Amino acid sequence: MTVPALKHILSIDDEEDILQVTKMSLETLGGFQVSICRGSAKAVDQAMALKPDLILLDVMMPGMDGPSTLKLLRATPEVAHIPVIFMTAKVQPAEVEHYLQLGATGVIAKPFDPMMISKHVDRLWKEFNESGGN
Amino acid sequence: MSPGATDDFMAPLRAKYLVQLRERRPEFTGFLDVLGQGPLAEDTHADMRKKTHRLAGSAATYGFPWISSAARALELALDAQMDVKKLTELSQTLLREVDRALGSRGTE
Repeated sequence: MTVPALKHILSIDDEEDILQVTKMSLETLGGFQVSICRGSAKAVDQAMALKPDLILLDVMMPGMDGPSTLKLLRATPEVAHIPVIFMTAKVQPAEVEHYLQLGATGVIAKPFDPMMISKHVDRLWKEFNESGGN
Repeated sequence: MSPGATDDFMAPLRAKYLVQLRERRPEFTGFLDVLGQGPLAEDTHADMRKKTHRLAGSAATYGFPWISSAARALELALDAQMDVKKLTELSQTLLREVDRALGSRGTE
């Protein structure tokens, strides 16, 4: 099965520190195009405007949190198909299972290693596509 | 994620993070100030938890795993509603680790 190339990623987080290092790591080491969205308020609008291949979504954000944002993305036909990876410190097995049940494609633990995140994202992208996009 | 293991692209980001950490240091000394006044009010507790969560989630990514560990310990203690004595100890540890990172800046 041919896996489509992952080109464009939208990173959604309320913390500038995380957005900057995520963007730099994924662009420098992964060769991806990375757009950033500060906070969840405009997340769906940005996803609709940019149509990224994949979304990285922080779980704990003020206002609308990650799971609520995911729910809204899934309820928006234009972007409902885009795989979403949660980024969170809460990575106990039961917590990860919960996120996957909500519809996340995968989970990346915070704090993450900037040298490894592009490989981690690429692996989750391949797994997503090899499983038929589910 | 040790400082020496990061590639060149991380160096400017790490330097910027240290500048911000220095600017944020009063937040962490502030923890000790409020804890010195007794049990935390609800909004103070929430504010402290938010700040420790943010620090725990970012510091190791920038090459300071010991700060993330100290911040995570304080965050968990706040979640567990531990007493002022324990929170003070953990805040002191966090401040020491922040200062260690800030002190290391001149040797880079």
